[in-house]
Amino acid sequence: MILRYTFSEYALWILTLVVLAVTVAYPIAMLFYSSIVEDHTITFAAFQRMIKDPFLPKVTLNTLQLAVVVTFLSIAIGVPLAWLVVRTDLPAKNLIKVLATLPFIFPPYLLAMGWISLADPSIGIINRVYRILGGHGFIVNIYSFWGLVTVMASRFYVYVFLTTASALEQMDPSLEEAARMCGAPLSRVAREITIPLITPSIVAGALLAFVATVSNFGIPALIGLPAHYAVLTTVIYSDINMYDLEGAAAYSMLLLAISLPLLVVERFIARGRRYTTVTGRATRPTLMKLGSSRYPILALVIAFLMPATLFPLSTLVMMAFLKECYLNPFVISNYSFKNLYDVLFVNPDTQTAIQDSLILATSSATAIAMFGALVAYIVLRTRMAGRTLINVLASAPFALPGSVLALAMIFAFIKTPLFNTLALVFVAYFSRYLSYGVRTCVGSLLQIDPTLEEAARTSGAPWIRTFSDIVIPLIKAGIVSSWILVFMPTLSELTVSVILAPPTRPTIGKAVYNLMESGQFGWAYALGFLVLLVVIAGQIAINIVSRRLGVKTV
Amino acid sequence: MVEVIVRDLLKKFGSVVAVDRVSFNVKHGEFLTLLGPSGCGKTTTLRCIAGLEIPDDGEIRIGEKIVSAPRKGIFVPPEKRNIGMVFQNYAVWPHMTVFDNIAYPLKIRRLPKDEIRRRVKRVLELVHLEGLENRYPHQLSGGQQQRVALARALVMEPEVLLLDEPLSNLDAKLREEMRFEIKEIQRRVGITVIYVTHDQAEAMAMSDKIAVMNKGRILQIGTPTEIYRKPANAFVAEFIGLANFLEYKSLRFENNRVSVELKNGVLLLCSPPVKSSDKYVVVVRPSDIEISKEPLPGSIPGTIVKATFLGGSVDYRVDIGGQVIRVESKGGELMSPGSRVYLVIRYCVLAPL
Ligand SMILES: Nc1ncnc2c1ncn2[C@@H]1O[C@H](COP(=O)(O)OP(=O)(O)OP(=O)(O)O)[C@@H](O)[C@H]1O
Ligand SMILES: [Mg+2]
Repeated sequence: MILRYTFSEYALWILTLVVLAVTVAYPIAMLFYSSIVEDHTITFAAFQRMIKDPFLPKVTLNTLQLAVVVTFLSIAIGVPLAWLVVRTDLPAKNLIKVLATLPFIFPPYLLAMGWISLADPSIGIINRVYRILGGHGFIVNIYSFWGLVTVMASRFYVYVFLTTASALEQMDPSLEEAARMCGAPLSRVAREITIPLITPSIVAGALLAFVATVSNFGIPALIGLPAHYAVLTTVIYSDINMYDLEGAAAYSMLLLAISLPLLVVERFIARGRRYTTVTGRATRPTLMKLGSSRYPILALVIAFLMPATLFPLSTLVMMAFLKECYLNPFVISNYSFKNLYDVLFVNPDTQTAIQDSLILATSSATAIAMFGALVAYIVLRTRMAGRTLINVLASAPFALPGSVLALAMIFAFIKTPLFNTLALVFVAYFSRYLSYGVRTCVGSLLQIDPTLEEAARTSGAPWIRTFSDIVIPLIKAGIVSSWILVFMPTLSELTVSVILAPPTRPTIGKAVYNLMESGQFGWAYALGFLVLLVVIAGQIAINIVSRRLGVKTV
Repeated sequence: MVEVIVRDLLKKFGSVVAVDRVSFNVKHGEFLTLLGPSGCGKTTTLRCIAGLEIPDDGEIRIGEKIVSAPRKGIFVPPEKRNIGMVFQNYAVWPHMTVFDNIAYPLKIRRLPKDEIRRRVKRVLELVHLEGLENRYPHQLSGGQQQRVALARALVMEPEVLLLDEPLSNLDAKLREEMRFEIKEIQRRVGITVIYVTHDQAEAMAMSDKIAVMNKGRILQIGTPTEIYRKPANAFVAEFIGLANFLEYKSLRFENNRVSVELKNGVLLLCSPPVKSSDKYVVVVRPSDIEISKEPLPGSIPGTIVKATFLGGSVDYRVDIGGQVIRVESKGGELMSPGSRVYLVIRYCVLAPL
């Protein structure tokens, strides 16, 4: 690699640093600064509030209690399921894998809406069936601690499932066979070899599930608030709504104090070399024969997975098409396209929301796809100064819960014209999802032999020409997938938008949330249904891109 | 005492017949190598003996005990067979120290602590790993991990030791060293060994007997010399060492000799084939041919086509009138292509096609 750069190369490098400084470093710095300094004097205001706030211990306890229960459930579901899929001769494994990871592609609030349509005391399908059958009142209530746990576990267990499944897949089966040759019966092999070897991965997945639970806003907002179960993220939101930024900062610091160390531990485990078990030639693991219990177990697994995703999503669709949410869902004539039509062509609020979100998602996906490729290239393939810093900055916001990032944006831009505009939402999206773009491009860049670029350099092409003539065409697939990977979540983004979008210009996520809060379920679910469609379309697109262009997405 | 007997072993994976009715015996204390090209079923055979695969048919007997006989509904699980096994990729447990790895089989057998310590110490000395007890596998070199795997297989003093290409992940020099060491340990412990490799030099150097396999079948079993000198067929001849196949005009069988008339009219006296067939090839090892500039009695005239200097020897390609054969010459002056030479064949053997 060449150490001297042309003017344009320096210009790009400076641009990168400036962009990261404005969208990442400055907001995060302001978040901490504002928690400590008030009117130019160090007061530790946020921390003082933390000590004085009478509500805080209760909220913290709520959050931790929820996260612990969700995490344990995630392990209890994710580990056995992963084992069944990877290590036994269970039939229809691909179907199970799809079902098991399905919750992951939807925004959490959409799943929450699904569960509400299933188990709301008044409009929930289950309770309506119960009343149709002659019952009174309701039998299930989603607005409860266990309702909250159910929804969160049904989404966040996927972390444990994925990490455990990949650990089991990558584990060399001869490690287990060696133990059997030493005389260990299967139960001891599982206890002394398999479980210890996959424990780090289970722990990593569990930490991710824990942090995701603690950081999530959509589910506790839609389900926890009606149940009067406040958690850190929902309190941050309501504090900001009441212009109590100091309080929001206090709760944010607390949230970070919980989530950041856990993420650091998770990274540490994921990188750990001590437990690397992939050695030598890959051998096929011997699948455990389930024998005659194959089909009963399959039935059990499907009976468990269906309600976890397909049921809430189907009732969500039903709600979108019911003329009025209280009408009998078992009468065909009660269904129509009215809600969908209203949302798309009549209601000006949802119309602008869709328009705004499309613009925001397109612009941030495009910006991130380009900038992500540049960052990936600088970090991976040049020797420019500050590479590590660039890398850290580009991935830092992803570790922040959405509500904390939104608060950071407020502190950073409250005194600028950006405040209370969609432009600030764009900056926040850019910051939050930048790491998707960087990671995807890093992934595809790693598959390309550096000598291809070196050949261009030795042919006389400067750095920028190499980047545009060689690198970009080679990682095109990565850039396309990162575009889709950013477009999908930003189109339906809730947490950041609900805090930062101007009240008159809500995004889709914020509009859905407002409609849910004001009980306009028909429109809310119609909009939710559109999100569902886009997510599924996006998932199909990403599969096509990765298959056609042969890239692995993150 | 302990003999391993494999009879008509059959193992299919779906429609692929990985092991096709294989039979062999390994006597107590004997070192048998399964040798063959990639995919010929060596590993599968070994894993059937270990109990890691369930055979479809045939019988496997270890000592007095039948461990697998699908027809009789017998299958002893691997942990009950008391067999030591060394895997190609070592399979040393990364979450345990060297000591814990090696002590594991003894812990399973609930031996007292000090007994365990004593036996681990002894086996560590045997494989030259003293002082590394408390290391984790990632702190060891490939060769050391290999030794840990070997120690773990030996510590429970099994009756049979199975090794599946244990040296293939090591570099050439270490491989030679370990070859010698494994052989030495086997001799000292007096254990029955079944060894899998596709490296013929390794097989020759270590084995009492070699079973040459191809496509799931055993083509020949014999001592290394037998296999080298009297290959059962052209495949074995070619797989074990270098071989020239000469075409012939006619054959005349005598008492324990065969007189062969080559295409160019030269007469040769060769060893008879191990079994009769209607077609044969004449197998001549390049090292069994003497090369000289002067005609000798019974020599075949030829012209050098190519000469490659290999350090200890020279590899010649010699045209003997229509056929080019390889000759390995130790010492003597280097002759250049085009030279007129005379070849004397010291040993040749007929192999059924
Ligand atoms: N678990 C399995 N499932 C399906 N086919 C298998 C399985 N194991 C082995 N085979 C097939 O059986 C045949 C024999 O395989 P085996 O591993 O015994 O060969 P090998 O002689 O050990 O080869 P190598 O020298 O490459 O290790 C091969 O064709 C292989 O593809
Ligand atoms: Mg093999």
